[in-house]
This record gives sequence, structure tokens and C-alpha cells, in this order.
Amino acid sequence: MSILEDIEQQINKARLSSTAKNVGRIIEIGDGVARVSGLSDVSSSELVSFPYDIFGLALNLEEDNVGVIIFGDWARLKEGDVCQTTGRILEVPVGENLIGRVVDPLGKPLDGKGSVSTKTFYPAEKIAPGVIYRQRVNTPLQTGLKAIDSMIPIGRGQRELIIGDRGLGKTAICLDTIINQKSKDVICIYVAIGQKTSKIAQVVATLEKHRAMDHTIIVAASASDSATMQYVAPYAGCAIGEYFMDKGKDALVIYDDLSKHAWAYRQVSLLLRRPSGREAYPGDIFYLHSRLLERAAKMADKFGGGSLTALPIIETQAGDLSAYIPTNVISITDGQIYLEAELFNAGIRPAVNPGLSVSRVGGAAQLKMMKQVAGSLRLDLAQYRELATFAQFGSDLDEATLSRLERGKRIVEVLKQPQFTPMDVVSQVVIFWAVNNGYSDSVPVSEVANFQEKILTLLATNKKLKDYLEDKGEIDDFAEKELAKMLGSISGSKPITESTENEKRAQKVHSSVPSKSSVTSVIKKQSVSSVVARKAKSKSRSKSKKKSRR
Amino acid sequence: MIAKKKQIQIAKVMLKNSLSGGLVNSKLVSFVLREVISQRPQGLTKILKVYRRLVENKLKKEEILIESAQKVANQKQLEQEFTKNTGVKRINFKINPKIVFGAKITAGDWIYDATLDAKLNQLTKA
Ligand SMILES: Nc1ncnc2c1ncn2[C@@H]1O[C@H](COP(=O)(O)OP(=O)(O)OP(=O)(O)O)[C@@H](O)[C@H]1O
Ligand SMILES: [Mg+2]
Repeated sequence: MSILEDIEQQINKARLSSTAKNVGRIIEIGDGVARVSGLSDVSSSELVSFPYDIFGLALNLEEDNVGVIIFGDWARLKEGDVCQTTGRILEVPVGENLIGRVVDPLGKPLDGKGSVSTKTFYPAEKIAPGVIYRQRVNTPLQTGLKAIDSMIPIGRGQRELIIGDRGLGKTAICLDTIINQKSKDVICIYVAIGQKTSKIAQVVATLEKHRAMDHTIIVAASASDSATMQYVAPYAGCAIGEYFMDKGKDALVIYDDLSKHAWAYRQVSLLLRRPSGREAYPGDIFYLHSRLLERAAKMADKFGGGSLTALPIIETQAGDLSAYIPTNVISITDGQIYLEAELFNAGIRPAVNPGLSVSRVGGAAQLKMMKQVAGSLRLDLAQYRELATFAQFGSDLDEATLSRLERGKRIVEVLKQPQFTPMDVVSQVVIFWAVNNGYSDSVPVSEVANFQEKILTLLATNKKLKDYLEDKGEIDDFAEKELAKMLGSISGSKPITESTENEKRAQKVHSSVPSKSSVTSVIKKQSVSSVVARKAKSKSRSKSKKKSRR
Repeated sequence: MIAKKKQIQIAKVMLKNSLSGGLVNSKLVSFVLREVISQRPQGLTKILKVYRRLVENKLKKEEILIESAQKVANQKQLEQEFTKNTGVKRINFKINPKIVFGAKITAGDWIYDATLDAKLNQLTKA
């Protein structure tokens, strides 16, 4: 074959054709939004290409002009510039090569580690998988945080909101969760929306320090990026996660945070002159977040069995859960983790409020052994809260109340956890088991942390028990015996076994039964007599009224 | 805001009145202009600006621009074909040496590009 023929063939392969372009002219441009005349053929959410390789997204299709939001440096464009439709919708590069990288929402690298080579593109906006593609959430996603894994369990494919005021450790929870996914086959995607660049850099450095970037992708649209970039960032992050879900893997995507996303969208839609509603947000602000969070799913086994878990973050003002955006997102998600300033300032960190936090599907995805120990934990903690407020007034409390208070104090202490120290499930279960069975009751509150350390070192040496629990996933008789044997060897901790304590309680109830009934009867008598007295009074009053009228 | 909507409305009515048979009629345009100016509505210059843009867009849709590197031989025949198939009013021919080879047709906001330049562009981008 001659060289010329070769070239000829290549040209034929390229299939050169005459092109039909649909063009428009910029009428008006500013603040990242352009109004364009022409573009009669553009469809909604289609990419529009401008000079200098700048792209935009057609959002507003009006009778005689089109509102386009622009990615990148809009200041270079001017009135009269020609733009054209591309026939494409916004797509982001996805794939394994992105792992360990920091990219912008369009997939351009920001970490200076060279270009990202990916062959696959996913649309940023995609309809969420339908009912038949899904199955119920059934596998836990361990955050490694005792307070969350025990009381607010998160399952793979769930959407759990993290909500709280500024600086209460919302990001910290997510980072710990990412760090805990090390060697667990969960790809994490952290989407930073409208954050300070310094904070994003800090997040990257933290993850690198804990060797968590090997399974993490960071999608960043900082506060200095255009509102358009911030608007598409979560969708891009979601698309990257969907790729792994479609591959049958588990992915976790964190949106930090969606309040700023809502602000960015508000800015864009005000500039597009869309009608605004409450708090100047546009009418479709609810759909903005619901279509994003609906894309989190646990796929049915027939469709690969992958999952995409979403952890959106919302920042509240002064703990106000009933503001517009928080209520919206709470109603879309499968539960929320509520962080409270009071707890944070009291040194209870993570500052999770177990009363206001729920997980609406996670319970089904909790390991059996965790369920065994966490059930009474939540109850004990709730009772402690109630008694603690009550005990502030009363001075002499009976023994049962005191022991509950003491137990509660220790539970609170155990649930505290410093940053970047995620804990595996077995260790968590063993610690909770020890607390539930009274091994910590004789330990001073200030020593609980040490006590916990001791248990962990003991467990580290007891590989047999650890493997057994990991295998079985539940605490059976054998495990219980082994646990008792192991914990018995800790000096100074006298186990007050559940049975003896229960017996004591039962005895107390028995002895107080007659006195209780006599008290109630007295109360009844009192109330009856008081009612009679009241009636008599009212009668006499009415009589006196009649008299006075006469 | 309301005033602006009103202005656009007025301009649209003006455009409607300056068409005859779906095409812009120069006599009607000057008549409409005289009428509006004599009535002196609020924001006259703004209305006229919008009107200008509307007429411009309308005119653009009515004419076709054919660009080529050299003078086209069968200009008359082409003209007939185009008017028959598209129903446009005017067909402008332009000689653009930058094209080198092929032709480029602009109709409203559509551009049909069959120039060598565009083909080379396709090659380099692919
Ligand atoms: N478990 C913890 N133990 C000790 N300190 C913590 C813990 N969690 C968070 N902190 C500290 O609290 C501070 C705020 O944390 P973080 O930045 O995660 O909060 P945030 O809610 O994401 O804040 P912002 O609203 O600014 O994004 C940090 O200095 C962090 O070190
Ligand atoms: Mg944060």
C-alpha cells in the first residue's frame, strides 16, 4: 500500500462532512451569565461553546433569547461574540485513573500531578436508577466512629445528612469516615463546594497524611470559582461515583456542603432573572437537591450490586433545623446526624446529639453483634439524659438512679473519640459489651479512656476472640464466656453482672409495691375530695352572683 | 421590570404590524415608526432598540448568505433553487478568499459549512 493511499484511508476514516452549525450572538454578558440571541436549536442543559475554548450551559430558553451560565473566564467574552451549540450535554471524565487526584468539576486536574487520562465520560445530570434496579440497603458502611456506628448506623446506598452549625466537626466526621474505608473497597469522593481554598488544601493534606488518598477522589469548586462551577460540582462528583457503582463497586460521595451549593444556585438563578421565592431561592430549589440525592442507591444483584452512599452536609445558623434548606434536605435524606454546639463545647466530640439524630434505614444494615450491644446503649443513654436533668434539682437519689447516672456518665465518656482514630467494629463491640455488662462501673470517669485503651490492648493480644467475632458477626454463648474471661483479667474492674443487678432492681420494685399503691390511693382520695370542694365552691359562687344581680 | 416587559410587548406588536405575508415590508416599517414616534410612549428609545433587534433577527431569517472563494458560475440557478425550497426573500453572494475551497451558507442562526477550512478543523480536533 502506498503512503498516499494510507493517508487517503485515514482521511476517509475521519468521515469529513459538511457541518451544520446553530449559532448565536451574545447580547449581554456579566457575572458569569450570558444572554444570547439566536441558538434556535439549543436544548435545555446543552453545552454551548464560546470563543477561547470557553463553554457554557444553556439553562433558560426564552422566546427570543437564551440564558447561558458560563464555566471559566467569562470576562474574556464580550457583546457580539459568536457562540454555537455543541449537541452535547455536560459530561465529566470518570474512571479509575481519577483515584488519588484532585480535580475540578469538569475533570481538570488541580493537584499538579499531570493530566488525567480517562476514556469514559458520564453525563453530569442523570436520572436516578428506578425501583427495579434497586435493592434495600443491607450492608453497613462503617464510619469508625463509635457514636455513629452504634446509634446512627449508615448502610451502603443510604443518604445520611450531617447537619450542624459552623465549626462543630461536620467535615471531621466525613474525613474520619474516609480514613476508615482504607482497604475496605469503598471508593470515596469528597466534593468541596464553595469552601476556602486553604480548607480544601488542609483536607487533601490530612487525607494524604493518613494514606487515605489511595481510595479517594477530591472534586473541588472553591469559593473563588464561579457559581456555575459550584453549581455543577456535586453532580460531577455524583457521576464519578456512579461509574464505580455501575462497575459493581461501593462508592461513598460526600457533599461539603449543600448550603453553599444552594447559595450558588440562588446566585445563578437570580442572575438569570428567574422568579425567586422564599429567602430568594428559586422555585426548583427542592428539586435541585432531591434529584442529586436520589442518585444514591444500592443496586440489585442482577445489576451488579454496587452502591453509592451519599453524605450531604448542611450548615445551620444557630442550630435552626427548621430553616428552608435544612428542612428540605432533611425530608429527602434517610436520616440525619445532628451536631450540637452545647455538646461540642462541653468536650463531647464528636458532638452528635443522639436524641435528634436518626438513621431511617441503617438499622437493617447493622451487624448482629453491634445490634446486640447498641440496643441497650441507646436506651441507657436516653435514660441518663433524662435523669441527669432531673438529678440537678434533687439531692438524695435512690441507688438505682445513681447507678444509672454513673453508667450514663461512662457511656458518654466512651462515645468520645478524638479525630483521625477510627475504630474497627469488633473493638467497638467489645468496648460496648464491657460497658453494658458493668465492667466500667467501678472505673472512675476520668479513667474511662485508659480503661478503653486497656481493653483494646487486651483484644489485640486475643486474636482468637477477635477472629471469632469477625467471622460470626454475633455474640453467642462462647463469645460471651471468652469476653468475660478476657475482661475479668483487667485489674480493678469488678463486673457487676446484669443478672445480679436486675435481681436487685426487681427486689426494690417488690418492696415498694404496697407503699406505692397506698400512695396512689391517697392521691386518688385527695383528688376526689378536692374536686368535691371545687364543685361546692363554684355552686356557692353562682349563688352569690344571682344574689348580687337581684 | 414591569416597564421593561411593556416595552418588549410594544416592540413585538410593532413588529407584527410591519409584516406583510410573513415578510418585513419596508413601507410598513416606516409607517409603524412614524406612528409610534408621534405617540411618544414612555421609554421610546428602549422600545426602538428592541424593535431594531427584532427586525434584524427577522431579516436575518429572510435572507441567505452564500460565501465562496470564487464567483459561483450558476448563481441564477442556485438562487432559484433556494427561493423555491426555503421561501426566503433575498440571497446574497459573497466572495471570501479565506475559504480557499468549498462554500459556506448562513441562514438565520444556522451555518452550513462545507469549506476546506472547516474540514481541516475537524481533522485536527479529531
Ligand atoms: N472528634 C473531635 N475531637 C476533637 N476535635 C475535633 C473533633 N471533631 C472536630 N474537631 C475540631 O473541631 C474543629 C472544627 O471541625 P470541622 O472543620 O470539621 O468543622 P465543620 O463543621 O466542618 O466546620 P465548617 O462549618 O467551618 O466547615 C476543628 O478544629 C477540629 O479539629
Ligand atoms: Mg467543614
